[in-house]
Amino acid sequence: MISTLGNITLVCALLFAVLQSSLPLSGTWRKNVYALAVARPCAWGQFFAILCAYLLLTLAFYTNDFSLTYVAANSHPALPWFYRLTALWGAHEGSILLWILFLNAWTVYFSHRQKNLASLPLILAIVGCVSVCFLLFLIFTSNPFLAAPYPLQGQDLNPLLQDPGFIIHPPMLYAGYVGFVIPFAITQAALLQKKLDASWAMLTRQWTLAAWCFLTLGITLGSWWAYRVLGWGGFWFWDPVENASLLPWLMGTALLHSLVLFEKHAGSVRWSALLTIITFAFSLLGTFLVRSGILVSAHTFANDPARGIFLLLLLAIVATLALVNYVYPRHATLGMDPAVKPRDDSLGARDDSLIGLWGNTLLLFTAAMTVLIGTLYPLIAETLKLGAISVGAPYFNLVMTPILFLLLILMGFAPYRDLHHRKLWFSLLRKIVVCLLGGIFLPWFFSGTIDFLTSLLLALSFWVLINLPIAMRQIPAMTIAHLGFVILILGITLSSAFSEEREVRIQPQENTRLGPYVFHFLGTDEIQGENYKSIRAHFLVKKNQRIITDLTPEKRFYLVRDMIMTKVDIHPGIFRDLYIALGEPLDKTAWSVRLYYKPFIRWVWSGGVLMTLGGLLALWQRRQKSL
Amino acid sequence: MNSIHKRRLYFLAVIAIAISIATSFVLYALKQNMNLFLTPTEIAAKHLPEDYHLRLGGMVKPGSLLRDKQGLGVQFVVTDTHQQILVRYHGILPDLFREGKGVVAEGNLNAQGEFIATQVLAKHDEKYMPKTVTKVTHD
Repeated sequence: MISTLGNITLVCALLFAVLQSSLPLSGTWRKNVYALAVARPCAWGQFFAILCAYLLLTLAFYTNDFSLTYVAANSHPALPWFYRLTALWGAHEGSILLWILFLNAWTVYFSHRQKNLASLPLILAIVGCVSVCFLLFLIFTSNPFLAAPYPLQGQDLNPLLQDPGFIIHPPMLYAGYVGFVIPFAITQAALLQKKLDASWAMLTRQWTLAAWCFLTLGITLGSWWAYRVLGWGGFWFWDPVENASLLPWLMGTALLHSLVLFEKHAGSVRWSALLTIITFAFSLLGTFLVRSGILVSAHTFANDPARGIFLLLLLAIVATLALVNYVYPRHATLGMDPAVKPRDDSLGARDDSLIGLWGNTLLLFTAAMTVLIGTLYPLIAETLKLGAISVGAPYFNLVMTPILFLLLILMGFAPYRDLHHRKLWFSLLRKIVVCLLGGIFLPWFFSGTIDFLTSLLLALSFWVLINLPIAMRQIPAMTIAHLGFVILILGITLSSAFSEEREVRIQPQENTRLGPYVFHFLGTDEIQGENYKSIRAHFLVKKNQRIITDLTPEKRFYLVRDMIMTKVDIHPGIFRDLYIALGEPLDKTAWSVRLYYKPFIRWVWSGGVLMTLGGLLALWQRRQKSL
Repeated sequence: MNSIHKRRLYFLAVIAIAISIATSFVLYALKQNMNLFLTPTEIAAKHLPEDYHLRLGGMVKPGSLLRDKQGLGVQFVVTDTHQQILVRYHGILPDLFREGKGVVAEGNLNAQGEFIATQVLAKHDEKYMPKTVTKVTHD
């Protein structure tokens, strides 16, 4: 029943998408107003069809309708209701459906906000083309409404995903990923109509910002999930799938800065247009990497080669068409073309922030490329029969660090508009000295050790912080976002420099120390969850004979999937986390446990949240201005 | 050649130098941090230097897991049905580690031909294995 209805809604959505993309395109060509007018109703029609499909599938999950293969493979009657409502995006097919749902949500929201935009039908047509491709992909290679040939047993949701982080992280991330389709379509339409002008830049910036906020929050939540669930106390693993989300983020950030640059100087117009294409191409590449199953990772579900080939083809076609449209000579845009105004003019102009903005977009571009190389290298090597290779986290840390140095140096200059003052340079010199001293002596004072990298990163972070208040009045959004970034960097630096960990074998009533903390192991008991059994250990944590907290890490056994999971327990704090992961039972009473002391780890995610807030503030200010 | 041309030339030169430095740095970093993925059969055929860092993939031989009486030392045998290697590790094994299932160990060989692992990864899902290992263990 649901299978049939679901397939009907998908086909309806496909029909609407085909109309939405083909009619306005021909309407633009033939100057037919009626064909153009079809775009908006079709977008709404498609949205409602997909929304129905989504609700049907959610209903199937909620009611444990195992006549659908997809539901049976990812749910179970004993699964708690909130996971049953969200298990939809627990695997490949549902994720793609969610992708398309967000694509449609962004489309109708855009058409609602920009009702009077002249190029709206064309933009909707371009988004419609993307939608057609993904709907074809969904229907033919990964249909979630596939009926089961015979009644199936529910196989439960992957226990790794049974965490509150899973309920909110994928939707945020997808909303961000997919959101970049709007700037992409706006720019393609502007290129087709030869109108890369100020209103184009403003519109693109607004919608890039919106998508960027979601993506930033999504990545932050993903990092938080990994910290809580994977049991290694880490917040970022340079896993190919994490990189796949970082790539569009880096390019999206570069795009935002190059659009700010455009408001000051026309030279960056072509560069910004190119960045919208690359950002969206990276979103597609991310989808390809995650969904094709060619990468080895905790996130990869699909192993069907047809899916990979389809997505790769789609990526190639979209990128080629977009780039052809981009390089196609257009004389009407010459007024804005850097070929007419030499780019070098910007370097001598009065507004010195131009240099920083150029530097920023180029650095972020370089960062994205190095991450891309590291992520794709194993794939290329395997295709060329060079053997199975993996590129480790040290590569990424090594190449990103110098880029980060340069970024932070530039970021410190961000509040200044005019650097041609002797007095200013004297005060800057003073600040630099203070920051360097702070970077060297603060870690020495607190830990008694000096590490070159830590000191340098600290000094650079202070350098940004010390300059930030200057711009708080004029550009609060930038200040908050930059503050968020520095807090993120401080969190990464301090937590990786000063975190401590121990793996020990421990008997009940024994103690073990980690820094100033004493962990006293009381013993274990058994508990029964809704769809798992669990062994729970009790630890009492003391510092200077004073009880800080008691922690109860668990070892959970998920019956349906026959999987063992570590449920860590964390005592969070602004300045440090205490983290216990239960290892294995070694003999009758002894256990191995992993203990972590993680200073400043909360700053990593606080930084991400602050960056999102900065983005939202910028968005809100724009809206006030445009009203 | 006027001043604009000259400035452009300098600009291009600076960019070219920056790109070449960045590229060589990236290649160097890649070379330093790349791990080959090998099965026991491939290792036996290769005669690797002692401190060569690599990833070993295969199946944990059933019944081969031994734990120290004290501490967290553990040893097990990784096999691809043709060849096998003894792996020593100090630490906590991952949740999905099981005898008879796939495993990936990162580390290097010692003088006795044993594999000293610095990290052990496991997934009971064989899809996690690289294709070469899956092929070998299925043959």
